Amino acid sequence: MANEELIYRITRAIYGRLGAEADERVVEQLVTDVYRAIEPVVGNGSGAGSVQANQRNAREREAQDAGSAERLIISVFGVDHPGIVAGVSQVLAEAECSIIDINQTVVQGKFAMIIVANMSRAGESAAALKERFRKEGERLGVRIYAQREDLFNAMHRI
Amino acid sequence: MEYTQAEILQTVRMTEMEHLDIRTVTLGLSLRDCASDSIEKTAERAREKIERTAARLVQTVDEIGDEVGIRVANKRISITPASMIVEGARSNGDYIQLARAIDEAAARVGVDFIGGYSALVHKGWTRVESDFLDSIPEALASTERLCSSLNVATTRAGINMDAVRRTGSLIKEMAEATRERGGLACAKFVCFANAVEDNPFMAGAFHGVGEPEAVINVGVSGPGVVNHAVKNAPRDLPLHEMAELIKKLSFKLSRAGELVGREAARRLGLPFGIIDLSLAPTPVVGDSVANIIEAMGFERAGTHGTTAALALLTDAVKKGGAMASGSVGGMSGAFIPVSEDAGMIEAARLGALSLDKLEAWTSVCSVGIDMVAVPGSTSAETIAAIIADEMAIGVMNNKTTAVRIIPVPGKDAGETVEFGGLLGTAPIMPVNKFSSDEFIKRGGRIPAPIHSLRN
Repeated sequence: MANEELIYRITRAIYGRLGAEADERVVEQLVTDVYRAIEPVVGNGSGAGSVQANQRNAREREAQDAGSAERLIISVFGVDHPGIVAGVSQVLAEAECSIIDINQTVVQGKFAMIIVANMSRAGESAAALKERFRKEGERLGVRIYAQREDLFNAMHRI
Repeated sequence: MEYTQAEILQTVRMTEMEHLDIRTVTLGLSLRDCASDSIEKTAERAREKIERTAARLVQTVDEIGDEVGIRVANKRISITPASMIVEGARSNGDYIQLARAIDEAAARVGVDFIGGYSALVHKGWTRVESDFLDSIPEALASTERLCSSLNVATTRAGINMDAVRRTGSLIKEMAEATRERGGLACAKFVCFANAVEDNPFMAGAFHGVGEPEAVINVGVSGPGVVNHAVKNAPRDLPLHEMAELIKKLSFKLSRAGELVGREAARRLGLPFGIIDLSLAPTPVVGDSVANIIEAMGFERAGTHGTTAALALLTDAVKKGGAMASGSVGGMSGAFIPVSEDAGMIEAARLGALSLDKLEAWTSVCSVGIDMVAVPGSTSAETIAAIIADEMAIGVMNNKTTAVRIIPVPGKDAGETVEFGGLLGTAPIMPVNKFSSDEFIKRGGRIPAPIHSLRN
């Protein structure tokens, strides 16, 4: 559970007991005390220290909300032949990018695939990854474009 | 999937096939604290500050371009009008030293242009500014990346006709000083009415006095994208629907620009300034404003009706952009530089596009006479008169207008001049052969219009 959510719940519980006319400063002090008391316990559950875990959660939530800077949309176009999906996935696997979503169609021999990938664990820069895709595209005879998800979010969502 | 296949395809098509790019990320930089009591010291301080502040500009912006998947065509710098930082220097005369220092700093940080060898003289000039103006031709002729501009008119002050006259002569000097390069120096000089302080586009960019220490401004472009959409629209699509179509595209272009601009500002630790929504063409085929106009239903750009078409285009671009971003500024219109736009070049060659039509277009876009080559024999007075007309349109209509004109030494109407790169190829256009000399020689000031009294 994220920090803010927990604090919000504690605050509501305290106001619930004391009523809306309770002194604001007292409530604030109580919330802080209670939170400090239970923080280690809550933290143990997530394994990696509550603060980092919470920060990560917050980041992930933000990413889902606004089109992420850590997610790539990879579009592949070309003439269909066996091995395109395998080739592109191989590049992603080697770069330690996980596939979040994948959509592939073949219409009249024309291959089109769109992959949403998470590159938050990727060990290399976007430029290096693009270079890999360029080479793989040449090998497979298809065009591979990799663009950050937030570009699509900016252009197509308000 | 969060985005439809059509949406993803549209973005990929725009960035990969229709030349959608961020035309420029421009670092606006104040050099006011570089002023000193000698030009030498000022030049050194300016060089140091530019190199320090812009050290990571090009690399950072290129990285973002790579990640986001949208090309950033140019990285540039605009500085405080140089005339303002030399006011306190004792030794007058050697402004070229400053020009070279700025130019060298620009080369070192890897930007393609640096703008702001400029002066604001719309009501008059100081003693130092007067000397400074004389240095512009040599400064532009002896540097590669430096751009210069003069503001000679505002709606509030009227038109400084002495400055207009002098600008005519300066342009002739610039052309002569770069004779063997087709008068290239003139391509790096713009003369303004109502100049904007946060314009990211060259050659007219400078960092205004009301601006912060340093700021990131972005110029978006995308004539190719609009061109593709207009071309593929049904032949009988009514114009208000055409406007709607352009507006929606412009919204998307602007959002992409703002994304890159804000990210660049964040990574460089600078405030984000504005996004300029101007459609700016490049010599690449298809990336042309003239082609958009033609796609609306004209045989050639420049014929009757094209002022109306351009009005529709610039207004739709502004409306879409204004909805997309809360930080719209700069020129925000359409650029119609003749030599940089394959469609304009063709229209001028065929005689469809004349100087007079370009002047008319000024009333509905930003910079009407832009990268226009005229015969080398054109007199300084005639050039001044062309400028005066453009300034009048700006002043009377409360808008920015500008002139970038090249009297190509030794060439006459019908010939062409090659500048190369982004500056392109210009067909030399004829000017009116009747004299305006006496009017220009009167000098003085054309008073501000009645609607300047707005308080």
